[in-house]
Amino acid sequence: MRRLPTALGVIRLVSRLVPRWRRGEWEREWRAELHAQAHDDTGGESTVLARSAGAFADALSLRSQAMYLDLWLGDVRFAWRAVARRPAFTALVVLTLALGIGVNSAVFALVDAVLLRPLPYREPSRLAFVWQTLPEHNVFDLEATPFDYDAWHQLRSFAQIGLVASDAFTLTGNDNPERVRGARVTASVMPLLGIAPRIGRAFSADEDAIGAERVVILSDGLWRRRYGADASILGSSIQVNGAPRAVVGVMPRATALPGPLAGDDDLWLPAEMSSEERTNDTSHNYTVLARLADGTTAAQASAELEAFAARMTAEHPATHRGLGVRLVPLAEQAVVTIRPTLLVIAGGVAMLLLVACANASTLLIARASNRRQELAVRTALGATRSRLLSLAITECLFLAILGGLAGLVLGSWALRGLLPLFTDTLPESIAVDVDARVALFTAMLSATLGLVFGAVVAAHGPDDHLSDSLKTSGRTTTAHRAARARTTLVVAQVALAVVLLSAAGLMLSSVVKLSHVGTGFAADHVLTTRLALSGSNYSAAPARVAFVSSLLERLGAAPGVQDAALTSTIPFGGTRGANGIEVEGRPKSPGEILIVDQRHVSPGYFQTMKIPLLRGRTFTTADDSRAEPVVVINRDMANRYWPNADPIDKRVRLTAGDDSGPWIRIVGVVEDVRHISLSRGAVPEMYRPYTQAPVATFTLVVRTASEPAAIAPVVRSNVQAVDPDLPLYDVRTMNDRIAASFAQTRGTMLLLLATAALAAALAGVAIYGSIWYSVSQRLPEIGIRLALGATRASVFGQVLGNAVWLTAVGAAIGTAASIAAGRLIAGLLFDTATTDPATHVTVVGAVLALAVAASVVPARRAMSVDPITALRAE
Amino acid sequence: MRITLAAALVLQAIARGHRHGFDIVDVTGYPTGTVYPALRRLEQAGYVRSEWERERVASREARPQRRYYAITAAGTRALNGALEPIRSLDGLRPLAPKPAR
Repeated sequence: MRRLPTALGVIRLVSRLVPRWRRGEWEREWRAELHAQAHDDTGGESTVLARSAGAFADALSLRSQAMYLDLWLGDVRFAWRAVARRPAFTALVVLTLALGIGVNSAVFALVDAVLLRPLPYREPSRLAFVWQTLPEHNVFDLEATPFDYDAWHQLRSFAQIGLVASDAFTLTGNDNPERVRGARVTASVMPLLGIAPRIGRAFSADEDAIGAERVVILSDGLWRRRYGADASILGSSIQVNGAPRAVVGVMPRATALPGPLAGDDDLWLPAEMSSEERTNDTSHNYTVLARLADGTTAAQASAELEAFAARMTAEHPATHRGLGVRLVPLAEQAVVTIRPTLLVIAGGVAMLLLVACANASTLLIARASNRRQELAVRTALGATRSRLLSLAITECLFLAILGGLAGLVLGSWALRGLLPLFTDTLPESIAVDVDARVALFTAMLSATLGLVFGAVVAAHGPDDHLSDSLKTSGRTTTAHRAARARTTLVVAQVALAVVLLSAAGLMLSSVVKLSHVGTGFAADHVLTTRLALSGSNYSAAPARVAFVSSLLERLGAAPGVQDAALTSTIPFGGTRGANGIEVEGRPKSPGEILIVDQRHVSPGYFQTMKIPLLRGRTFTTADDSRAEPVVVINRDMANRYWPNADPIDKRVRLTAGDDSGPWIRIVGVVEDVRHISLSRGAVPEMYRPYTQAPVATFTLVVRTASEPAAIAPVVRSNVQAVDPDLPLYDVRTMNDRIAASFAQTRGTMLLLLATAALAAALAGVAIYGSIWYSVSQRLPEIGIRLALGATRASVFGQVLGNAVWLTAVGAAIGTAASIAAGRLIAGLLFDTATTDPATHVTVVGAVLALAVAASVVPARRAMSVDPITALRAE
Repeated sequence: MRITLAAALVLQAIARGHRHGFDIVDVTGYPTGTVYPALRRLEQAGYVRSEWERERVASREARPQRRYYAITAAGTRALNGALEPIRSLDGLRPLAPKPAR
């Protein structure tokens, strides 16, 4: 028992060797064993002491286990202290990195959601759209006819094939009539995509034909919004286009049709095709989806499809001459419009990240040079190169991780600002959010940056000339190396900023030119709203004409309304209404198809839209169904088909396959308008009086005296006064429609401009830092030169010249690079060459001005050096 | 980890139910300076786990709680792997004595 206190003393002493976090348990274990041993001591008192000796080996083994962790924890502590000791420096580096990382996280979220994530269908890589084409008319995504759809069932490349006809439907039956988008689909469409109702059933094959029970499937959104998520709606009937339909299913949340069909999914109806509709070979109104057979590539399917189309043309020359086919994989179709934009944006923010990195590197290298003495002392005290490297990397990792965290916050803000710029062009089914994938991307980016910075800093750390560093004022080879690195980084930043500024400038020039394009009509003070006359009340043409004349009469008299009219297809409304025509007296060459866009308008349309009349007359109320069919054509159509003659009183007729309508007499020529987009020139157009061709769906155009959006309630109440069951939908001012048509170009421009401005600001800071630093290093030299008679103006000029020279080199490289890479952005530009001299000259001028502004303060400092003080310091 | 002979014997002792440090020391005959480092390595490798003795048991015997070790499934596999070459020696005939000259 006497030996126990000694043994416990040994344990207490040895426990100092054990890592602190294990010490308590370790001591407790040994004490317990020694106590018990001392109690029932069988081997004599020396046993206790002898056994306690083993504690030393035990403690050492634990210590070596913990050593690596310990060293690393030490590095982390060191890094934290280094970072916390200089809050301003830390904040600057973290902010710079956060800018670069944050913007990249936001854009990654967008790119990931749109381009990288698989589409929400079963085996989406095997899905494709099948389009028909009219290569002679530059039409490559013509919807298919039911006849061709039926024929394509023979193709062995397709495991499944389905047909979708987009449509809009009017829901009535309660107080709130509503117009919703939907589609008629064949029973094969849902299994083909791998989607199914979450409650109820999908369509059956016998519902593809007309005559089966009339059924409907609701979207989750519509089911919740209009029917209060009531599951008992299954089996009950709702009023669709004025007729009852039994609800047989509800789709899962966020189920959408792919590509251009996205959004047409609030209501799903069976195809319900009559036998005439099924064999129609001229109505190109049906989108065809196909699932490729196992083991068939898209290229093989394309080849089989094209060979088949060639055979169809040979067998059916009347309807299929000039018709081609095109197979487009789903993933391509869904993002075809936004992919080039996203890639340009991703490239832009990647460049901003490079600029931010160069900036942070400059700061870190400058700091490393300031700490050369500290590092030299550490080396002299025995720190190895690998230990110093580990320290540098830990510190940089620390900064990068802080930057990443701040970047994630900045990124989610940036994303919130970014999304509204692209709402019109992003596929509707896509949800963009800062999620785990984005966080992982940010973490990996930060970690990579940390490691790279660590390596960069270590490369500018102590070298073989350590003893120099220990001297107080060592301007050594290392300092020269650091200065060279700093210069290179400044030039690189300027070059990158110039590339970004040029891209933003070119986009800006495009947007400015787009917004100055004349539309051919007066868009100010025009409200547009769509209207659909559905249901049995309007199945007869006279009922539609009666409704329209009564509505237009009421609207014309309404307060605040100057003019009201309607058109079947509104400019910037997303549809064209193309038709084949035949011109009287023009010899018809075999296979030639004349395509003209057809619009049905009320007599007041040209006056309401202020489309100038060039020749002849516009419509009057006398041009009704009993009068001779007449048409007004646009300048482009007149120039194209009657280049040397007056088109007035010439006649045309509509053709659809072998059928032709009656001859229609041309009574007037009006000015061209931009219809599809500002960047697409005029196409041949013909206007027909609504009374002679009363379609069921059309757009009201109302010219107002004041703010057009404010007149919407007046329009609504007038429509409901004529028919309370008709919903207005797609209510927008004309200017909104035009703005939306180039929203993507404007969004890209704004984003590139913001990115370029940030890059330029960072480059400006870099120029300032670099010049300030070089002036600090050269103070004694400047002092000597001033003492020898140099003027202060010449010193000032030399410092400025230095900055301008650096910047000019960067600007030259940047301009060359942006011209060389011009074709990457060329597709997004409108009427602007990638070599546009005005843009490039402005950018270079702006960057040089930035350099002068950034170096004025350091230059003034150099100018005001007191030679005596400077020399004394030396 | 590489299982040394000492580590194999310590594991074997734990597998046979010798649960605390000095008990293992007693049964293997190794000094504490060998047994404890072996235990630490085995525990880090996940071949043994440890827990504190229940307080009631210790206070009944009027001594501080001991730390008890138990072999894990991975430990059992490692032990069998380490003993395999030794067991295979059992099948060999003993070496015949050299004939006298």
